[in-house]
Amino acid sequence: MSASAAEHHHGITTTDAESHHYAALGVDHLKLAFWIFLGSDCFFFGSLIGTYMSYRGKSLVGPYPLDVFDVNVTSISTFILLMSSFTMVLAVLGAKTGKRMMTMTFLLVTAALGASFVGFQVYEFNHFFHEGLTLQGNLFGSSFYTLTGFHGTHVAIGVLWLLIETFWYGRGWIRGDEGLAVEIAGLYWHFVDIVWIVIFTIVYLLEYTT
Amino acid sequence: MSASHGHEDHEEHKHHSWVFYTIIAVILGVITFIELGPLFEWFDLPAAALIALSVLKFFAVVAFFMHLWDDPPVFTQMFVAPLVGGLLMVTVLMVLFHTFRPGAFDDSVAVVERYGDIYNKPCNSWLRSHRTQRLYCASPPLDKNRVAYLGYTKIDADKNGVLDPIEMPIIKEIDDGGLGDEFNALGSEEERIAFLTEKGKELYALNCQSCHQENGQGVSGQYPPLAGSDYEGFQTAEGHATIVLKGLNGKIVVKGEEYNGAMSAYSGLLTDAQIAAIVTYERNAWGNNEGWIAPAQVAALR
Repeated sequence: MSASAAEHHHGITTTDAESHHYAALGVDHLKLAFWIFLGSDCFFFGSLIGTYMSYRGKSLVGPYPLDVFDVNVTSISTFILLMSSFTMVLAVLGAKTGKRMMTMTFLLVTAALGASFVGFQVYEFNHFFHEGLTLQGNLFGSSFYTLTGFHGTHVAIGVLWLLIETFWYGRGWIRGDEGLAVEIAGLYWHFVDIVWIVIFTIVYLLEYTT
Repeated sequence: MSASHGHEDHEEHKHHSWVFYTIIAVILGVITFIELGPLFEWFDLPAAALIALSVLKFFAVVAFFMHLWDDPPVFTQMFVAPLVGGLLMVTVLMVLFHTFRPGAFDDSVAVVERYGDIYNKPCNSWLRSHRTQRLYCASPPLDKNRVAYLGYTKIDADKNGVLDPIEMPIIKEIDDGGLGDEFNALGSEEERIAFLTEKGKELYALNCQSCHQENGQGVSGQYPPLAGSDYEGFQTAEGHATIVLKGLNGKIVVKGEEYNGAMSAYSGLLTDAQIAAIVTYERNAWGNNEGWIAPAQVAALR
C-alpha cells in the first residue's frame, strides 16, 4: 500500500470512527464483509445443490419425490417466504428513512412469516418421514433432507436475528448506523429467499415438467 | 468507485419508495404463480422456462431488494464472483455424474434393445454398476404409480410407501462364465462344496457384502446378520436360496433384534450356479456349518 493511500485510509477512520467504517474502497466495512460472507454461502449451498442434482433421479428404491410432495404445502410456504422478502425490504426502507414504527412492525411481520415457513417445513419433514422418506433410506432422502434442512436452519437463524434486531432497535441499543444494521439483517434474509428460489425450482418444480 | 465517494455520498444515497418495492413484489408473486402452473396441472412448462423464471426472480431480489442495482459495484463483484464459482462447481458435479445426458450411458441402448422384451418398464437411462455388474434404472420416468425396475422393489402408491416384493423376470442371457458346467465337471461332493464356497466368496463380495458385511454380521438394526442366524427362513438351504431368489420384505427378528427392511430379489440377476455358490458360502462361512445347495436345487426353486 502506498503512503498516500494509507493516509487517506487513516483520515477516514478517525473522522468516522463512531458511525461508519469505510474501507479504502469507499464502502462500509461491515456491509462489504457481509456480502463476502454471502458469497461464501453461495459455495456452501452450491455444494449441496450440486450433490442433490447429481443424485437426482438415481434412487434405487422409493419413496420418490412425487410420492411424497404436497403441492399445496410447498406453494403456500414458497409464497410466504417470497412475501417475507417484501416485508423485509419495507423494514429496511423504514430504518433508512427513520420511521421507527414502520421498521419494527415490518421486522416483526418478517420474523412471523419466516417462523411460519419453518413451521411448514417441520410439518413437511414430519409428513415425508411418515411416508417412508428417511435420511438413510435412499439417495433422494439423504440429499433432500440435507439441502432443505440446511436452508431451513438458515431461515430459523434469520428469524432469531430479526427478533433480536427488533428488540435492540426498539430499545435504541444499536450503536452506530441503525439503518445499516437493519439493512444487513435484510441482506441475510433476502439471501435465504433467493436460495429458496433455487431450491424450489430444482427440487420441486423440475419434478413436474414433462 | 472514485476516491471521493465516502460518508456524504452514502447519506445522500437515494431510496426507492414503497411503491417501487410493491411493484417488484407483485412481479415476483406473478412469476411464482406462473411457476405453479405445472404443479397444479393448469398448464405445462418446459424445464428451461421454469429455470428462466427463477433466474428472473433471483435477479429481481438481488438487484432491487438487496440493492445491488444501485449500490457501489464492489458489492456486486464480491457476490457475483463466488456465485459464478458456485455455479461452476454445480455444473462440474452434474457433468461428472452424467446429469446432463440421460440415456447416453455406454450400454444403455444395447441393454434396452437386448432386454427390451423383458425389461419393458420405461426408463430414461439405464446404468450398469461397475462394481456388481447389475443393471438399474438411473432415471425413471416421473410417474406417480411408477413401479421399479429390474426386480428391485416397488412402491405401491395406495399402500403409503410400503414396500412390496415383485415378481422378477428370469433373464436367460445372464452369463456366469460357465460356472454351472465347471460345477458339473467335478466328481466328489467335497470338491463341489469347496468349489461353490470359493466362487461364493467372490460373488458374496460383489452382491451381498455391502449390506451384510464381510464378516456376515450385517448392520445392527438395518441389515440382519448371516453369521449364526436363527431366522426361520435360514434354517434350510432351500429357504435360504428362496430369500436370495425372491428377496425379502417386512418385519423379521434375527438373533433377538428386529429388522424391517427390503432385500432385493436376485433371480433375474444371478444364475442358479451363482446363487448356489453364494448360499453355500454363506452357510459355511463365519463359523456357520449349515450344509449346502446344488445349482439344480436352486433351479427347482425358481
